[in-house]
Amino acid sequence: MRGRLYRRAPTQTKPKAWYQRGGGERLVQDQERIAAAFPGLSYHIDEQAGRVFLEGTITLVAECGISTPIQVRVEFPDGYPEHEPRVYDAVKRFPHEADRHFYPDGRCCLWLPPESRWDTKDPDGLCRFLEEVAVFLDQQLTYEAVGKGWWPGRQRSHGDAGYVEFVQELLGGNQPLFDALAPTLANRSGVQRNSPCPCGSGVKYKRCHLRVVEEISRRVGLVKLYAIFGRWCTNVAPGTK
Amino acid sequence: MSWDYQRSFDRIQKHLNGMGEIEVKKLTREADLEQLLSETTCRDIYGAHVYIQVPNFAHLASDGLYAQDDYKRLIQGVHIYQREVTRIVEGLGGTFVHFQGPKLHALFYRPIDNAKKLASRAVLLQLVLKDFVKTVFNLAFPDYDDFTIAGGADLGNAIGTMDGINGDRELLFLGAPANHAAKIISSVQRLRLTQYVYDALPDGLRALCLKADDGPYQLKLVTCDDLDELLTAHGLTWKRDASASNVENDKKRFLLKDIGYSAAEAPIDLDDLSTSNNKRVLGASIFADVSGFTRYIDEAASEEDKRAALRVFHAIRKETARVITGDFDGLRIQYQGDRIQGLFHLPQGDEAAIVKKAVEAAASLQSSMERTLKACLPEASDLRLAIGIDLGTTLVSQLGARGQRDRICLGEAVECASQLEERSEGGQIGVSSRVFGQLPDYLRDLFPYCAKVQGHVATNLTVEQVERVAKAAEVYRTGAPVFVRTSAAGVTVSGQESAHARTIVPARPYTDEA
Repeated sequence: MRGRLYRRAPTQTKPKAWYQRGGGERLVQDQERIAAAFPGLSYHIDEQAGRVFLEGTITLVAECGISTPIQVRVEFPDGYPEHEPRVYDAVKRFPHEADRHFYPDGRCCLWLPPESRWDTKDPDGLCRFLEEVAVFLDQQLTYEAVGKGWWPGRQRSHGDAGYVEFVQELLGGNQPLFDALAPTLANRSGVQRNSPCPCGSGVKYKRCHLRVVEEISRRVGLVKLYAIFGRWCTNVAPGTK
Repeated sequence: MSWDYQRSFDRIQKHLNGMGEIEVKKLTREADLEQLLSETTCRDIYGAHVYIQVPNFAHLASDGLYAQDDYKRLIQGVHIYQREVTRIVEGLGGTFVHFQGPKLHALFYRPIDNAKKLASRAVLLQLVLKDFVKTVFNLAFPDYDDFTIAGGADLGNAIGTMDGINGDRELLFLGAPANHAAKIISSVQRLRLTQYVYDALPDGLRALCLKADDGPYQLKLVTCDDLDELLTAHGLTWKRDASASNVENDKKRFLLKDIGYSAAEAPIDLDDLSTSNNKRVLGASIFADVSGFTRYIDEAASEEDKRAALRVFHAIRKETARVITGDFDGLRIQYQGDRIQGLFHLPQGDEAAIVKKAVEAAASLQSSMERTLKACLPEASDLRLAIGIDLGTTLVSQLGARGQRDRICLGEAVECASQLEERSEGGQIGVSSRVFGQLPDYLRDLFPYCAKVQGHVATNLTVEQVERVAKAAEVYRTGAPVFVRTSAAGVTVSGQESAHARTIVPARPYTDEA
């Protein structure tokens, strides 16, 4: 009989790890660039776990020539290079505490995620990323040198407050505007595209601040945004629905 | 002007590689020490070390005088004082070592190993100089308040050597007696001696000694006649008339009209200084002393240990001089045992800039000590530098007897810097309030006030730390970009733009947990 239907059994093959995709091109590319710019770091591949690590030292050289090697470990998530790597203070050279911008497991908190400088499309992206890490580590050493217990430079507040600061800056520091849009950011305002904009301008939302809110949503992520501003509205502006 | 790790390391290694074998032998017969000693030819010398200080000179050199002729008279007075004191030392059989500003260092080592005679001469020198200042010098210079002296003497073994750079050499002594004789000088005008000197004295001179509460002995004053008798009894001669005549002759020889001083628009050429060419500048005086070195060398029992200790000493001395002169365009005024004296005076009149240079030089000295010297000489691991800095009007000159002229700095700031160093511990930099007041804000936080030092003190301050706190204040806190350069050696994050560096505005770090 013609047109007999065959059903193929679902494949049992494991999806390829990122360093195996495309013939491992990205890994080879990264290795070459890292060997030249950061010779103190070397790759280790855990085939069983399907993970790649970059380990070794980033040596910071002061202008007077004194070198300070700092041992780090770089982990690459499954979604690399679409998702940025994570860097860890490998031997607890610095205190792993929030005020020093470390997670308890030693992971470096380089930036607020919406402000990430990771560029997925840049072939030199990993080197650029490690240069940012070097600046972060330099600030750690500077923190120690100053000895006053304050971060040498600008920083984001911890937790929700950091995101709130970020959004306030995107709104140009306009506090009344921020207060007006906060319920929308918390998904509590029920505003529609053709509704008057919550900012009170009288203009339709779609022609007023819709784009701004969409940009904020895109950068922060809806789930995160709703959670943060939900809490904000509850704690800071309890009258907000 | 800056310190660099590799440059410091390379020059220390170069010096060590070219130093040659050091010889340390006991001095067993009389010799001309200036001819005998060198960096590598050293002698263990048993002798009495005497220091004599004239405190008034420093005060007068600072701000006490405004009329030009008065200042010239001071220069004339210091010069003539040093010339005649040198003659007196040599007339009593001593060896003139040098003047540290207004402070004489003399040594009696002949007759060899004769403790009684050496101790006696050390005591008699103090008494003679006291008499000289009172009966001859003050009369010759009546325009000032009477000068007085304070003195200290100790007896024992010290290693004699020569040190210096490029032919500019100085006689130096390392060991407890050379150190203690200076340390026991009190602020009150007294003549003092240690137990070792006292124990070696004959009964006649012991009778002149009173035990002081703080340990050393103190000499009673004697009349002119008694002094003359004592000198005769010990086979020594000193004639007041002759000294007075020398002083008068020198006054005619070094007339006020021929004495000149001026400010310094350019770096002072120390070799060009003389009675007719003195400099009066606003300067930051710096003293850096190797803390623990006297004990280190005294504990060197074998000849091999002594050689190793001297190798360390010469390396430290040369490197500290290079930091001051080569890295920071300062003046190396003098070596004083295991201590170096320097001066920064440019840009003229700019207090903040002079202070910044002096403090950065001090941090660089600490970096040389802790990073490069100890990397090249692990045996120096227990040694540290104590540093003192003050700023003030300073007379810089080259005065004294021909062939024995010393570079001197006179001024209250010089004395204060010296005292700050003496009160500081190893690894510390002690600065006066005036210096502290001129520091940039970001450095002041590193210099808390210390009651013990009577000044503001930074501990373990290095060049790297100074760089970082400056970067914190001038780059990170202002939100300015940094410039990141990668190389085989590592990553440099700088506030200064440079070739092949990427510009990065530092990100704002964030942590999820509050």
